[in-house]
Amino acid sequence: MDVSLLFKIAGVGFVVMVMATMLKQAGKDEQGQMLTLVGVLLVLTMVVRLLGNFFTLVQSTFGMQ
Amino acid sequence: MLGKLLGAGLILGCSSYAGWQVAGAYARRPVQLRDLQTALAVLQTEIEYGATPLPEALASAARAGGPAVGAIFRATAERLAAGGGNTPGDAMREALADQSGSTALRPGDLSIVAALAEVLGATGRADQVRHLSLARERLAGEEARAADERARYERMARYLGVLGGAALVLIFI
Repeated sequence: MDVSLLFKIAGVGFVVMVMATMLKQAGKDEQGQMLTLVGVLLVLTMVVRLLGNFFTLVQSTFGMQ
Repeated sequence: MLGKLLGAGLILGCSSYAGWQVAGAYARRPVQLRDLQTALAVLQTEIEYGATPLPEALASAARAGGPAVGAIFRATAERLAAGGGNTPGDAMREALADQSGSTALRPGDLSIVAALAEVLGATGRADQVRHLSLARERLAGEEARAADERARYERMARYLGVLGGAALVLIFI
């Protein structure tokens, strides 16, 4: 299991959170929400890749090719 | 590994620099708007009480206006002094188009000054003075708005530059 991807996701989440807070403080709430959405999509693509790996692993384990 | 580290540093440095530049523009705009008002006040005094010839009046306004804003008036004065049949309005419009790139002023601020170009040296003294006062009032309004924007966005731009770089580095690693 590669842990670096987890750290990457955590890092993106942290940076996006701080940026969204800064934008909200400056009164740009909409841009903050948009940024949060972008962050969620970004992390989602990473997670989807992991899930894909997981499903191929399940397939190969039970011989369902 | 070393290449990655170098690239990460480069990305972070560039985005931080971009953020600082944007923040710097937010910080310079109120100062330059105030400089512009000072220069116009000097110009108004020269026209109202001194009845100074326009190139000299513009030169003394340029001295009062600081480096960035003064350059607009200096260029206008130089164009007028060079002759060639330029009206003061033409000279001012050309100077604005040339020098506005080196200021942090927005097109809206510059259009206030451009509106002056129509009357400068073209109408009576009282009319010019009235237009100059009006321009200064409008610039004061813009300055208050610019100061408000500065308070809200200067720090944000700086942080967003650094954090955006950090996010890019995280995604690319």
